Amino acid sequence: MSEPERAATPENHQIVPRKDLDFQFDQVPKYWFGGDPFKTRFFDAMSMLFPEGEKFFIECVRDYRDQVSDPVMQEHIRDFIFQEGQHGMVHTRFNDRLKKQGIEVDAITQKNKEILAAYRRRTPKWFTLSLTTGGEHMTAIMAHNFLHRPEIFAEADHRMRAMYYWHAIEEIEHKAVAFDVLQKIAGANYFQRIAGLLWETFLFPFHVFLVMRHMLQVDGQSSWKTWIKGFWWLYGPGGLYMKLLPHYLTFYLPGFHPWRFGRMDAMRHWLDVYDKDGDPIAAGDTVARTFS
Amino acid sequence: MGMNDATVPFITLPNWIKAAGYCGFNINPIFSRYGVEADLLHLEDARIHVSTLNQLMAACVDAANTTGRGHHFPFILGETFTFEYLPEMETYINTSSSLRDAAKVLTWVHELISPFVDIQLEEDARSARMVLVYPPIGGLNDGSMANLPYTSESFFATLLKFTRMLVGQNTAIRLLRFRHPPPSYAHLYEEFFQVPVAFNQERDVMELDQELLDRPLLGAYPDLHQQAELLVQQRLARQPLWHGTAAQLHRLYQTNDALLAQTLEHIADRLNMHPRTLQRHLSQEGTSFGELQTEARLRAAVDALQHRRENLESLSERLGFSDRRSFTRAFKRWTGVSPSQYRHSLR
Ligand SMILES: [Fe+2]
Ligand SMILES: [Fe+2]
Repeated sequence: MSEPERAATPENHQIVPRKDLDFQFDQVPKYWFGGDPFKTRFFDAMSMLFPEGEKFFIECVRDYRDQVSDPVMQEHIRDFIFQEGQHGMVHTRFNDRLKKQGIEVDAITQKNKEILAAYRRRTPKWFTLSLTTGGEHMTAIMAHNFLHRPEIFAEADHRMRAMYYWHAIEEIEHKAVAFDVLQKIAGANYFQRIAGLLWETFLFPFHVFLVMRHMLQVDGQSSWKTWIKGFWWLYGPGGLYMKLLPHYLTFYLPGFHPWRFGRMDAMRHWLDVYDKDGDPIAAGDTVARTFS
Repeated sequence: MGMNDATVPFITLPNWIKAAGYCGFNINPIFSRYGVEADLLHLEDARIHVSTLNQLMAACVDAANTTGRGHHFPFILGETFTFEYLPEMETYINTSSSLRDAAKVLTWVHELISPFVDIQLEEDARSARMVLVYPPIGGLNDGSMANLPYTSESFFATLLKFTRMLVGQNTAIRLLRFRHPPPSYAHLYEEFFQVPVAFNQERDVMELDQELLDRPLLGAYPDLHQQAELLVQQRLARQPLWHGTAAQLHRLYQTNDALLAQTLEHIADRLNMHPRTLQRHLSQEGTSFGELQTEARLRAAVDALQHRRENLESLSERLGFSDRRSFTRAFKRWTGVSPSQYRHSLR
């Protein structure tokens, strides 16, 4: 978590648009996370929520785009939107596989879409941007942790790991875009900045669990034992959420900026391999090997 | 940037060529006469002056009249319109699960194709209305686009075409309302649109049954729909910004309701400008602070009446109207009904 101590987005920072990435989803087994239904469905549930969520983030940032006069910030916004668009499209492609497993992908997506549309209609623009900033903080801390704690994805299929690593890399690259727009353009105060994250901290996991419940029911895996074991994996000592907690809390520090926290070495490593031959699977494998 | 310099995208150029062919004339000499450079390689960046667009339209109407085929050019331009060069928009529409879903395209059309027209969807318990609004941004409000019947004619031709394509040929579109008085060729309207038509109305409106908005569509294809929308979002992000003070002010109001009741001085301060500079910029762009403010207030009012339970007294105060009466008057001019009637007609 230590290393950078910057109060702002680094100068000359690049957010790279990448496309046409192939993760060979057709070869991924159903329970791709160590054969474990709970862990697999935890990530699958997030994957189901991503495309609509990313569309929402794009729209909330775009609300303020015309007020931005700094050309660098303009460029960052454009590249942020490009990256989120690619994430949404890749996750949609993956989610399509879940349909064949009997998961109600379309109905859940529709519901998710309606909920987010209601936020867009009924809450002020600063709040939806604050939700975006909070969401981006959550994805950024997952990203930093996934990349630097290889034990998290140790049991996962390496193609799926590659997909989440790629998503993680880009989440780190653009982690401060929404934040900077919220602070500098929307002029949010401390309360307005943390409002979105507070709101999501309770709602996001809740939505994930609702989607998981459906998935595990379809799978015939929804026993108490599965859930208790799964919650232990998330909330137990050394659990996934517990690992994220310290970094999560940094957001509430006055004077927080996304570039003040988060290790960068795994990312540099990933970029070295990826930039050489454009293979995200090879890049993911190398990062996993180097940091284990 | 004076109003005569205002340019708009011209990605619809191929549609003009197609419509001219359908009407039986060659558009090439008309393009050369007005200095329009047809270049498919840079179509995405092609722009045209608003005044040129108006001249082009008038010339095409004349040319179509002389061919003897009896076509009115704006009708054909609208009816033959497709999103050929914006393929993800076409996919988005065709994979929609409802008309309401498809209607999201309307805001993108405004951003990508026709900044001079914004199409708003309004609804009450019985009817849905697609309303053409002519936003005074970026120096486009010299009235030329809003005052010519051609804009509303071609827009409604396109809207009708897509609506019928999605919900069925014999869909009961109730009525088309036009602001302009009946033109000399008024007899062509009902024959062409196959819908009752009214002239001299408050606003340009297409009215349909509210029930149509949520009727499930046969072509629904959710994953493609989702991907198409993400592609549109990426395209929108590449669009050049709307420059100009009016656009800036317009966005400022859109992102912050609380500013609607603020004074000129306060807003100028917010934009880091002297109040007189702000006024000068706006007048150079062919608009004024009062005009933009009223428009933003009325949009916010329509929105609030549809989605909130605020009483009219506090709404009119929050939006900065001097009293309830002036609010009602302005609102009626904008929507054709009073705020209470408007709310009453909602569920
Ligand atoms: Fe993302
Ligand atoms: Fe993101």
